[in-house]
Amino acid sequence: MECKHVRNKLVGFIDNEISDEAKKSIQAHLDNCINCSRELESLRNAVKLWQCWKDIEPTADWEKELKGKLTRTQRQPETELEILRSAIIGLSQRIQKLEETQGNLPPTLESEIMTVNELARYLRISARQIYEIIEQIPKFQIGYEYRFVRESIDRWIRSMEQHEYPQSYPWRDWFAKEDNA
Amino acid sequence: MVQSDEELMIRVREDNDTKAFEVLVQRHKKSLLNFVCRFMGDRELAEDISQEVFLRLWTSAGTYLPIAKFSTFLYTIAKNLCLNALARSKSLPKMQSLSEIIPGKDADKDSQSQADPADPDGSPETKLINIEIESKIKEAVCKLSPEHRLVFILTEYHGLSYQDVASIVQCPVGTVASRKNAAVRSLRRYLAPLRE
Repeated sequence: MECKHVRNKLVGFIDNEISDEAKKSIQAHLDNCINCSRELESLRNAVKLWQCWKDIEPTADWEKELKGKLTRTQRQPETELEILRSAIIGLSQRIQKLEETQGNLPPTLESEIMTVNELARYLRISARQIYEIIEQIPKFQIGYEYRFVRESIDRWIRSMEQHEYPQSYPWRDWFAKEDNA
Repeated sequence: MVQSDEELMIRVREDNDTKAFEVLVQRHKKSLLNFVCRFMGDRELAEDISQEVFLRLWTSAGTYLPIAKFSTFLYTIAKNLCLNALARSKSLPKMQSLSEIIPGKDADKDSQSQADPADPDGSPETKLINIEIESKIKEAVCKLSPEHRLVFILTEYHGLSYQDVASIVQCPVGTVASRKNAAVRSLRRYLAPLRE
């Protein structure tokens, strides 16, 4: 180990915050390097010096004041209950609304722009299958996320209907040859 | 059986247990006050902030998760309040007069016999020299940046591990190590005249 590396780790060495392995190699270096040993000694002396900064004691008034403040700022279990109650009421109202609109899903979920999962649901296949044929699906990207415009997807589906087999079909070329034959 | 801080804190969170809270205050008031006082460099302000920390501890007990160490939770609140206070004051921590920070006679004797075994009787001359040294140390620590000061105080005076400090300061452990290293070296430089 070089002196520079050892010196950078001496504070961690004093604080016992380095691995046993690093400790061993630093100790081995210190046994053979007077300069680094002196540096360690100097750091240890500095540490001793700032241990002179003594602790202070909280006064009796400090505790009295704290108690006074605490009684004025009591945690109100009722307030917490109120918050929870209103959150539950809010959630149940949202659930109710969602349930009401579930019959008319199209404008919400499978809307103009779809995610991979929404498209998968729309096409009645799995998301994994979407990724397998992702190259052929009309799409755009936002960062790493794919998005699909419903109109383009519908057009793509119509174009697929003209073929007897999906364009993604692995043996498409093979079948195509047979068709031509 | 003595309950751990974490167990007491759960009692505070679940049952609003004021007795458990009081035990926590008794256990941590001194170290917390000293942390804030060392960080802010002002006893009056430190008393105020440390009370505020316990108030926050009480009011935000609901956010305590048993997976977190209690000390980490407590010092995180303290750190946030100290940094807020610093931002509000937008000034360097002001130095206080020594008479404000020197503990009472009994406490002084106690701490001296522990920290300075070479001088158990603590003659007035030695006390004076110690006061002077302490004043220089405070001055030097207050010159550190808040980030370095935080790491230095938490590891050096409160015995927190680098890992715990990393959770409080919300930075990688390696950053804590390098801040501690830088802080120690700056302080050694500031305090070099004292060691001559």
